[in-house]
Amino acid sequence: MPLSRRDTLRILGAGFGTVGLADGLMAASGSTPHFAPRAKRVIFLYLNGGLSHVDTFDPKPALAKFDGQPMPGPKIKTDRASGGLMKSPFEFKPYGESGLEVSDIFPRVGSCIDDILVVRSMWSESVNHLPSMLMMNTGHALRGGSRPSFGSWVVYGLGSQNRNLPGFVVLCPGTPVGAARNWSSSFLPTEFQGALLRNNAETPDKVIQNIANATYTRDEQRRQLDLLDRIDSSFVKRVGFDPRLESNIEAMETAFRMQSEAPGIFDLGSEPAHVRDRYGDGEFGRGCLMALRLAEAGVRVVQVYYGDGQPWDSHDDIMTQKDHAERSDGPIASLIEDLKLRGMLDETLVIVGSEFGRTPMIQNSGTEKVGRGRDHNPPGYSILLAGGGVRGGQAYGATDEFGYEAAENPVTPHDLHATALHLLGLDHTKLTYRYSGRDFRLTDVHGTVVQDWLA
Amino acid sequence: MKRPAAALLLAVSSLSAGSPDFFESKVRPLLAAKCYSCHSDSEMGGLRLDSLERVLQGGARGPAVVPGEPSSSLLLAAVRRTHDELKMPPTEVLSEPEIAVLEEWIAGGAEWPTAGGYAVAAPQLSPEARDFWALNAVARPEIPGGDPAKAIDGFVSEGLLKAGLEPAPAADKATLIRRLSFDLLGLPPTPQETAAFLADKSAGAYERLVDRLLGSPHYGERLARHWLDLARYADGQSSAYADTPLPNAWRYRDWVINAFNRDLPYDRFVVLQLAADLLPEAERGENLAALGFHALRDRDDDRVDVTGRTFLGLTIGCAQCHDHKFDPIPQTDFYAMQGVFSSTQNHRYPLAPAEEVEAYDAANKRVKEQKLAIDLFLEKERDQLIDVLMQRTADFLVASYSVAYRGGNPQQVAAEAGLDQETLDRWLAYLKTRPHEHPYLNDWYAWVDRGASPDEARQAASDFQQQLLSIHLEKQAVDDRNYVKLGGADGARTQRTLLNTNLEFIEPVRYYLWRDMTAPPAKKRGLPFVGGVYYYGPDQIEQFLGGVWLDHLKAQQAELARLKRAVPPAYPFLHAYRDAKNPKDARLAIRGDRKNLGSAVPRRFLTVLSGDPPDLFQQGSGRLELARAIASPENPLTARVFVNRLWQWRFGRGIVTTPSNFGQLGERPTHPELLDWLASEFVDSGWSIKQLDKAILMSDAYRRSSRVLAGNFEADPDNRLLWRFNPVRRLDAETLRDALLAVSGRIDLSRGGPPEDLADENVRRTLYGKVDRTNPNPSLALFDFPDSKAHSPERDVTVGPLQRLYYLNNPFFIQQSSALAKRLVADAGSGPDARIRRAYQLLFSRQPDSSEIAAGSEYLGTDSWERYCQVLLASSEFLTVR
Repeated sequence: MPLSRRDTLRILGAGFGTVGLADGLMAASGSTPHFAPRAKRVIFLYLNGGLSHVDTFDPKPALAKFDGQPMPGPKIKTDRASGGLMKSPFEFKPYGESGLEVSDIFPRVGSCIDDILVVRSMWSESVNHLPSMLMMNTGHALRGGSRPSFGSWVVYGLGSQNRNLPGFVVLCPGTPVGAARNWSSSFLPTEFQGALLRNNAETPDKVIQNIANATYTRDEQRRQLDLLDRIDSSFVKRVGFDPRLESNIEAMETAFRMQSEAPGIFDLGSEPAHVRDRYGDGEFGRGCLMALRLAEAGVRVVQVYYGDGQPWDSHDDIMTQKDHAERSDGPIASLIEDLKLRGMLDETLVIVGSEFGRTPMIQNSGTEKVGRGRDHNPPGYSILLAGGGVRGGQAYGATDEFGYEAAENPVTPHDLHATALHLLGLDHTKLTYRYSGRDFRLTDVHGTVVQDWLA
Repeated sequence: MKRPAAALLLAVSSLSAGSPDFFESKVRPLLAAKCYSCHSDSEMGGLRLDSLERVLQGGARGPAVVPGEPSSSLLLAAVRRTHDELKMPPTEVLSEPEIAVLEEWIAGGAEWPTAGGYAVAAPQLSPEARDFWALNAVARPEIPGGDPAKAIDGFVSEGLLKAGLEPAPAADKATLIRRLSFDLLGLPPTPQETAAFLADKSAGAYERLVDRLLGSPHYGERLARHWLDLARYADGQSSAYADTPLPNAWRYRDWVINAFNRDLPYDRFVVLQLAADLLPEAERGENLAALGFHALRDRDDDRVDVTGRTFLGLTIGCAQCHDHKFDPIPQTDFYAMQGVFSSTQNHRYPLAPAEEVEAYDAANKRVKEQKLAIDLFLEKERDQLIDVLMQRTADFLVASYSVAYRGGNPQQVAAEAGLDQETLDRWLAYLKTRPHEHPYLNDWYAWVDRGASPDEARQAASDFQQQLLSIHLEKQAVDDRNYVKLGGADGARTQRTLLNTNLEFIEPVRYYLWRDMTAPPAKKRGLPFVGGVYYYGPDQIEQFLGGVWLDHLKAQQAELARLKRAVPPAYPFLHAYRDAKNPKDARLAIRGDRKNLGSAVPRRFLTVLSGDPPDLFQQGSGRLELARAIASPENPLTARVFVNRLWQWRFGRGIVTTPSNFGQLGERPTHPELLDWLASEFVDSGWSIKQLDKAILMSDAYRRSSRVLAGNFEADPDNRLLWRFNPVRRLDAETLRDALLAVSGRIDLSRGGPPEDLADENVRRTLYGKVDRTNPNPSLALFDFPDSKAHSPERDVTVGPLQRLYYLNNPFFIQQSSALAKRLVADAGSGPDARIRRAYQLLFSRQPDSSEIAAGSEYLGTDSWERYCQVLLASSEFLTVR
């Protein structure tokens, strides 16, 4: 049948009742950005539960000064009963040439601060984890439904760089609030969904669904593929040309190759000990090191969840932020350092953040026991950005005197998404998908690219 | 192709200060943005600004607004900051234009639109807006050629003739039976069925096959799964980590299956799913389960959207935040329909006699009470034990010292000191952890690390005990005061009270010592706590009890066991809904913002499908009126949308290729007259789905080969004109799994009932597997099973390498390969050629040719049957239907 390759691709995308790209082949071949990108990929380290900005990256001396006193102004309605202002139990000090202040529970991140942009004026709306997480991950705080995640949009826009691996990988040792909704492709084709890999699995072959065969040898599988090729070729001859059939056979060969390539990426034993040691052997450390290796292998978006549930949710005792910092300070810093060392930081956007911050006030509701915690704080929180065309060593925006609300240059999750897409060479107003009668965007009708972040 | 956006559908009136539009677009948003954070629910200064009544009533200083008199209105003085004390908002000065809006509004009489008098005007739609193909009445077109038995082909041939395209020949019979079986039943034909069909050379063979399949009980199963995609069916409600089970959701699934099997007329099918509860009992019949359509998803806005897209092919959801940008659906239409669903509340209908329900509930209540009594007893004992053990803290420390620093044997040391062995072991383990959350053992560690003498150790131990006892006392006092603050035991058990009450706490470091000694273990994600040294929970405390205490506990536990046994099995019930006692109109959310509510919109059907002015719903929520308006033969959309869906399920693509969007942004029909003919035929037949289906299946268009004809392909590559059957399609997720089980001979075709997880051992049809919203089944998702949180009008068909990994390595897939290999022996004996033939019949509904037998034999010369079968199952011929 005299049909060109281009015809084949054209047909693949058409007429099957599906809209958009209907074949992994096309996604893998990569699409073109709208303009020259600064970043080629994203690593999103998600500290689920709520990093306390006033105890880590947004120093507030006023909290020490007015410790125990009520916050001035109208009484603020928090999710749970809260009392007066509470000073941070941690000490802040300046780091690097930029002299940005970081608290003593993140010393190693502090040592990388000249590569980091600290956004201190994140602003979000919803006081609960689920909608806030969905906002951060999908740009929509929809409790009931779902929208495509940030990672899905990026892979939809740019494709993957490695045909043997999913374009969007999620590493999570358990289940964060919202589960698969956080990495869902929703109405985008399912191939853009985040592939959930359990970075606490004991062996590399447990990480990807069906990646290894329990009993057959490689040779046995090779013979199977050769037979399959014969059977499928004779089927094509029998029924006549159909572009779909051709791509089926090709996908089989890809899968066969994947079996040998993919597990190696998750085999951290192949990293030298001095590298592994800097990440530690905790779940999050392993996740960060896998993220580095996945990024090297060409995976477009990697999201690493800190842990199962919402570990950073320090309602009861803010000191638990220190415990979690101990398990994440090294991994975050090591990832940034290693990306730099391997010459990849410039083209890799690293995002570190949570769905919201924590209140400057103490929480003293009856659900708690220690009574030294902080409640959820969506109107003001901090996130970190590094690499990927972002100007490090600066703080952007500011919360008020006490750290409650973004007071200067507020940034919404939509703005973050718009800017991240911009760094990837995508115009957030043009990255659209037609569904249910209208064009959808990651940023809906919102989002502004924050020019001040760009290097 | 697309007509220009019809953004001018709604006339926008000029905004005068007294008009509702002025209030809704200028005043209310301003109040909401600048004032409501303090002057709505919080009522600061006693003032609310979210209703006219409260505005006029005002706060502590009197009325906030005097209508018509800006200069006497406190509100204006406050925002102008001309008042001596009131300067509002406290942190922000309003801009001049903002103040001007308020002034103009007050001067105009402080008009505040309310629902009562239909303050929301019925929107006017221009004739141009109404004139759209899908909204025009269905006209019964002339059949080209005039033969009603050949109507479908008449319409299709006309298009082909015009384009000068030759249709593909009919598919061969083996292909047809395979196509029909997968399309109608979701299962491959058995070799016997294929053989019988091939052997039947009579003229009516095909029609008889169609009739047999239409009569099969699996027919309803296949159609039901298509419908469940639209209904976003699942067996649980999505939640943070795992679904909240909907244990009787399957009754809706089974109802849908049966409805298709008994050819329930589609108009009735619609009415029952929306309003079965509101029908007179005789008319309702045994159809209450139909309400699962919406009852399994509990958001009003979602119900409006899914109603629109499923039954009407209209994206009403687009009008939630503003008037629909392209279709004649004003924003008020969305809220007119939302009011219907917000006046509807979820309700469980028990499927058991009242006595049974009462007996079950009462028995459960008794169990609960008995459990509580035991818990309270054990708590009391636990607390006493803590007090007793704590008095001997110094002894425990000294004993620990003897063991850890003097090499003593724990059993011996405990026995000599008269201490509880397990508690001493706990102390030893605890001391090893060197707790860092409190400093109270620092002195102790300092002493013993330095090599303290027994006397010195005794001294440090006594000091520690003193501190512990004082902390324990303080904690008890604080707990007592908190108990009062919470309003006693009830408050202390109520989550809401707990969340909203400010309590006292002891110093965190003191708390941590207290916790380490007395608190129960906590599994908190991230940082678990093993449990206090002196804590003995319900399952550990028995060892410390004796005499009458133990007798009492045993008796109580025996009673609990008896009560539990006496609980009858849970009664079945339906997840459904009913009208709220006081149906209420929904208030329009300005720009979709639910914190900024406008006027209430009277409940009614869509303007464009109603008379002028539209009739308001009168009965209860109006749900039955809504259902009847949808299911009316006069409704131009309902029949068109459904016949198009059935066409899509048969041909892989609808006549309108956007099956849930018949609006401006949807596609136009490829065969508009055919669509209308089918729709009018459908209604005239009494909405019979099976008759419609048969007409489609009997057409030449459906029976064509899917083979590509070069000339046609150049002219119409997408096959819009239906010159061939649709291209090769990969089996969908359920059909793939069912087909594997069918050919391996393991399938269990029993019908209906509660869902089970799709574990590898589960051999029932996939339709009966549990559908999870929060954690979707990964294997189904791999093959594009849709998101069951959303209406899904069509399946994606992706073919990525992760699916190939499934064929290569998935244990379930290999299990079926192995079962198939065994089946071949059972069916065809030991001869390799016979077995290969059998495999081809089972999987491909045909005989292998000699080269295929040769290829198989050659492979099997060195390799196994199991792996051979796996290759056949992974072949394109098995995995596709054409």
